[in-house]
Amino acid sequence: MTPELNLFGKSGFQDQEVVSEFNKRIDLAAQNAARLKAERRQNEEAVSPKEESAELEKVLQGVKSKKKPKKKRRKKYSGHEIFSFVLSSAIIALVLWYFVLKKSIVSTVSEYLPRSFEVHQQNSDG
Amino acid sequence: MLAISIRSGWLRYAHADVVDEAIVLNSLIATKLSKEFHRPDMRSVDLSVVLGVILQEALRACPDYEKEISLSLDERWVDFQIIPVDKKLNAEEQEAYLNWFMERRLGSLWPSSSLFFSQVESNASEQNWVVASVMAKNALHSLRSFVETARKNPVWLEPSTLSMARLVTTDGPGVSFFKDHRSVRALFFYGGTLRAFGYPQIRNSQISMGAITGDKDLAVSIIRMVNALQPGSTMSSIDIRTVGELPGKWRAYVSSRKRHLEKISPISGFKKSRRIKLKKGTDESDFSEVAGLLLRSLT
Repeated sequence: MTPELNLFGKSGFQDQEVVSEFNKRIDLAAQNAARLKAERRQNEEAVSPKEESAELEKVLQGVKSKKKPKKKRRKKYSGHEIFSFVLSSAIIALVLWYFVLKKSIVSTVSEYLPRSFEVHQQNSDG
Repeated sequence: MLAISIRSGWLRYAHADVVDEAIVLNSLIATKLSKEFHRPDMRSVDLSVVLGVILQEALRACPDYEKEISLSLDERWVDFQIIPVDKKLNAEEQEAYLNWFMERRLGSLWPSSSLFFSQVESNASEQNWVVASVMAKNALHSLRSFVETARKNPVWLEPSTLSMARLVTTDGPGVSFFKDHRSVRALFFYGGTLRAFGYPQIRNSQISMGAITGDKDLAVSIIRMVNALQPGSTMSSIDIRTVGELPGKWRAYVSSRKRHLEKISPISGFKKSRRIKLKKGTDESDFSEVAGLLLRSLT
């Protein structure tokens, strides 16, 4: 067997125990690396749809068969929103009415004077 | 796991995962270091900055989830030797002897150095053999803290010779020749353990050894056996392996003795992920230490 000598190890005489201790450490590190790699590979496999495990498929099927619970329909507008909309519409309508309709009423009144009003006018002229 | 090697002015690294007891390579990259980083001052206060410049590329390429960092450094960073010890000495006496030996060898550098030893199985030998490594405390601390600052776990650090040895260990007597830039490095094995290493040379198809570290007698006798092999002969009692295309005069030797040589490709046993892209001109045989570090994760 070729002699082993690790300069990162203990100085002086390196008996087989020291070397084997380092071997153990290396083995442990290699095992850990292999485990990490295997885990990483498993994760990658889980992501790829082709290689899904049977168990995973079952779980997914189970999920598919269940009806999705109906989402609670959210009310589009709350009460105070509707009230404020109606109020603002009313205000706008009143403003319009004031500027457009009231003017026509005034002009109508001025064109067709009531008879009683005419009499009163004549009396005042005389 | 991220395996990083710095050898002969090159930074080489690979990120790999272990999947079902097999190594899957995600990246394999080689970068030539600029000359100022070939021989850094191990005791310099600025070493952590140098390390940052060298290693940031490898750490940036490493994914966030990866925490383990293993390193292999050549003799410019880490001194590595195979030292004979008297078999009669017990463990404590051996350590005391090795400390005394290293103290004499290192001189004034002794207090600022960290020493590491490990016993080599040497039942058949008359002596005990111990692999010894020396690294500057400052370099070790800088390296560790740099890796930790990058939120990684410094798991393993070894001299490049040991990483290479893990790749080509043979049970019987054997030698492995590695291409090391423009030269060749030879590792000698016996009984399944690394027993010596050095830089061989070749002349007229005859190999000779310069400086040898470790069991010199074994290395010399193995080289003698290798030289005795004739191109036409079929019998061979030693394992001869080559890693990478050996340079210069070695080429003729390798082509004439193909039947005796076993060519080793460091990463041939690993799986490669689809996203791996090698730069043009990348020589996979240069990743011996990286492969050696990765093989460690399987043991």
